[in-house]
Amino acid sequence: MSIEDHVDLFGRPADDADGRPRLPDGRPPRGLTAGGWVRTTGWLQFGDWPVSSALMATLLGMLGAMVCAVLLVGTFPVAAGVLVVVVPPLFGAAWGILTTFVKPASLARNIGTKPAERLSPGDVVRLYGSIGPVGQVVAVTFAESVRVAFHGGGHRTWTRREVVHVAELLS
Amino acid sequence: MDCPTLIELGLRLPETTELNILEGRPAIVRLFWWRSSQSARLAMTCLGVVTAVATTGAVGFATEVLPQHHRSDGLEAAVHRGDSFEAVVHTVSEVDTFDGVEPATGLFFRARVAGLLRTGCRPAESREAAQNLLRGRNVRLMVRKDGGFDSDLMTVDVVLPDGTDYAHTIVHDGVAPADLTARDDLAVADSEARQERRGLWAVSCATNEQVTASAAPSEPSSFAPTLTTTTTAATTTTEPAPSSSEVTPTSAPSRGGSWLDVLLGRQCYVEGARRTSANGDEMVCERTGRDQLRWRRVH
Repeated sequence: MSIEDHVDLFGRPADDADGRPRLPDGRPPRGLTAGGWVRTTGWLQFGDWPVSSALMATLLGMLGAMVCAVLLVGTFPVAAGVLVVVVPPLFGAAWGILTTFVKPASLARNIGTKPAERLSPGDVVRLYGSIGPVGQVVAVTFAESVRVAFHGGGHRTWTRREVVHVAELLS
Repeated sequence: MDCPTLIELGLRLPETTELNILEGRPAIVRLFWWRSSQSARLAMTCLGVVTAVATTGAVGFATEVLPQHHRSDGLEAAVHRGDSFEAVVHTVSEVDTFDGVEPATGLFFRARVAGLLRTGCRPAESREAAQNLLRGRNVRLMVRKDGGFDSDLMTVDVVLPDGTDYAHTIVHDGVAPADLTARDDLAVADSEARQERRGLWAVSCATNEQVTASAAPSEPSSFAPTLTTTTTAATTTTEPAPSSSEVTPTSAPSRGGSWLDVLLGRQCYVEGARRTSANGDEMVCERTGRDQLRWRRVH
């Protein structure tokens, strides 16, 4: 029957029955949204080590504080010094609070790439490019293109040879 | 009999939604950021950092090199007539105008010294003398008048580090004439400078520019010396006698030396400067044991 011909019968089964993304220890990821996809944080990864976005926020705060300090040091030298010391950790802490409580996001690590036609249920993939939100594949349908359904009801359609980044959720 | 499926009936299965993490319109910038490679993101970030640092450096450079661009708005807002504060003179633009910074607050300001007049006579030497007295020095300023809407200058009295009054020193040495409408206490020093032909009242200025003074009967209380440039033998300007003393001679000896020539033993402003006096003696500006610059004969 034609419908069954388009179903990947040899794909890896989902990690659990409902296809919901899970951390290795079984807990749901922090960034799991009501839509089923997982909000992630961080955009820089050296080898297997994803750089903390809080660290990036701290560095960004330091840069901004230094710029402001240069402008202020002539008029308010003490304030300029305080700015350089206080603002960077403030930025880091604020980003940490934002990604933990306000807009919960998970730390994810890219573990490889694969063509869309080789995706299988249970894969956790980046929905757009090499960073950004991830979704857990629950079904893959092959036609002229590959239609990948994710947990939560969403789907994406890729060409067969389009390279997709496979990720691993860490928090 | 099997029921026909939806597909067999030509009906489509319900579509799941295309993933769009944003409820509203797609975030193009965010999608572009996600879809770019890590090297591209790093390059963009480095470019942003370099731009920020370069901008900061440019601002810092402009602040350091072009202090004259600083308006005195900040300090003017903080000081009022009668206030006194210490400042470091940064740039001397004219004999009566300078830029400075108040060390305590770091505020830049522009100030004009009360009681001095600019002349067209040897402005470079006047400026040089003023720079020698003021530039880089920590002076005490007493605010006489705040700057108005159309001026970023505040009028001040300047007390030099040795406690002497800058305007008095300048007038006494004949570097600039006194503006007695602003400071009538400089009248005596101004008269003495004229009588003794110090500075610009000396010969050289008078070879081409003759500065004279006479009383103005109609305005005995308003002393306003006016410098007049002429090529004729004599010109008169108005100078009411603040006391009974002086009327400056008008004739000018036609000696060709600098006006500093007649100030042998008097104060000079550029250490190491050399002049030839009218009688042919070569003079040099030297620092004395009391740390003052004086004209001396070269031995």
